[in-house]
Amino acid sequence: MAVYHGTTSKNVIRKLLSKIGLGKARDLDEVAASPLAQWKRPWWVKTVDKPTVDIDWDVVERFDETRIQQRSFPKYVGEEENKKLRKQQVERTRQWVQENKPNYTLRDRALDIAVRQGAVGTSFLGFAQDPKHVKDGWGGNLMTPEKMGVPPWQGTPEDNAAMMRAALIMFGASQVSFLELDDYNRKFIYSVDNDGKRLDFEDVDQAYEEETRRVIPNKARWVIVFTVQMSEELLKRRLGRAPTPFSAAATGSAYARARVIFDDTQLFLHCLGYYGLMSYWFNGLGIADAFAVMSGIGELSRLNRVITPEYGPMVRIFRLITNLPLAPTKPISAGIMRFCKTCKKCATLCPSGTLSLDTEPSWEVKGPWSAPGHKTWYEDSTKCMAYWIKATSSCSTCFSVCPFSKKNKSFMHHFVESTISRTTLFNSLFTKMDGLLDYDIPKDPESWWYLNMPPYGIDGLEGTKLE
Amino acid sequence: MWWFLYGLIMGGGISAIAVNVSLTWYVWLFIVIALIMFTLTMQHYFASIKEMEPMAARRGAVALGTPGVIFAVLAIVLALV
Repeated sequence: MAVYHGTTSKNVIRKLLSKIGLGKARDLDEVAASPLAQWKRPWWVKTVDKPTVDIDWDVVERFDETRIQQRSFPKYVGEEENKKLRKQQVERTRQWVQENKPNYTLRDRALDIAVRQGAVGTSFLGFAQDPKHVKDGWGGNLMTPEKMGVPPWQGTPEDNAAMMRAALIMFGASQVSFLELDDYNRKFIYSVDNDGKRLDFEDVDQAYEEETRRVIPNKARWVIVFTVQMSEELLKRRLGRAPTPFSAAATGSAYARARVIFDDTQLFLHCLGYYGLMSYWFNGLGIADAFAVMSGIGELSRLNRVITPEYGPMVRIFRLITNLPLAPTKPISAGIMRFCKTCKKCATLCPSGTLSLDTEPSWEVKGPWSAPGHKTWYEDSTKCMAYWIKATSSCSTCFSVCPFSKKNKSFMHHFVESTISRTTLFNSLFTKMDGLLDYDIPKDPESWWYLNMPPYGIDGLEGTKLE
Repeated sequence: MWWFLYGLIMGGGISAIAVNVSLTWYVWLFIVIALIMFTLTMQHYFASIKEMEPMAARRGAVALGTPGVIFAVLAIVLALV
């Protein structure tokens, strides 16, 4: 039970709460722990004890993140080939702008670049840890419990989880889940971060950073996992199977918004008397998709990324570690990984031939860029990265053709998803219907400029009280 | 509001039929099935337009509306026989 309760008269609170069906809650702090504050998922989503992906914990080890394509691509293809591709990328970009090539024009490129502004790296400790750099909105000194003469915020793990969910959604997140680090899922924290710094755990009170390493206190045991929704209307603006600056901008926009969410969350925790730890880079610290699967954001898929029940794969996933106790959320089962076995649409339409066309997932990795120990459809992501460079835009064709990438206004989507969660009998039919109804056909990129879209091009009301 | 009006019209129509015409149970069954299919067709069509998927709207309307038309025609033919 939270220590700090509201000061409004108890009778007034009770009358108000009983009017909205929460008569048993004594105050607003207890409302936060009520079922109404819980994460409402679609009815066909089941919570389970074990995720739908098979994991061999004896094989899982903390992964060296410098092995991913963004850092090691030259090592996998050779320096000469990398230089050749990069030169071609620069020349092609310039040439297409000069030719005013449709969908790759100056303004299209400008959109992709501008939307990423803000996506310039995050901070392990959070800028709030250094009071010299952060002041509150009134230009005064940063508020902490210590300065206010009160102890750090105290709440039950359930209170805290509801509080953090409300706060992160306000900051711009779409979904928020939580995980407690144990001996198993601690292995999803990278051994080496993206910039080559080691990530070590120690029995210390405060996190700190040195030249060669970042130290995470053992008492920072909780992971906050959140998603940022991507704009479907941007994502689906391809040229045939090829990406364009529009489809690339969908990703960039999500990263830029995530930067704000990270800063706000670390600052919020700091003001409560806790800390939130991230990496210097968005995809650093730990395997986002692993945390997302274990905490119930979604299921692993043929994309070797997470597909969520609410937004399909049209999300970017992020995580940070905190010492604020949080009630964990469980993995889910919604028939998604099962559906991937027969669908194969992403792999069939992948322009670079990166994704696996095998029906069954496998334990065998395709290269050192993948963390082993789970049964999935591992990809040859060297082909993917090479294609991004040749196409001059980061690709997300697989995300955009996925049958789960939908806006969910038609009853048909809910009907299909709820049936998929219960039986595999109609999975092939649903895949064919998706093609017959032209959901996987790219949309004309140039027409995007004349749509009347909401902010960030997303429907932020879906699944909320305001819908 | 549009769904409210739709409900009023459909409810009014069914009430008018029920009061003025005597129908067998299977004709009523076909009327109800036809009504359900038309409702689903309308929902899918207008929702797909909102989703900016015009082809899905049109093809879905044909796929869902055709059985509705068939059942409606059957109901009318059987009612007249």
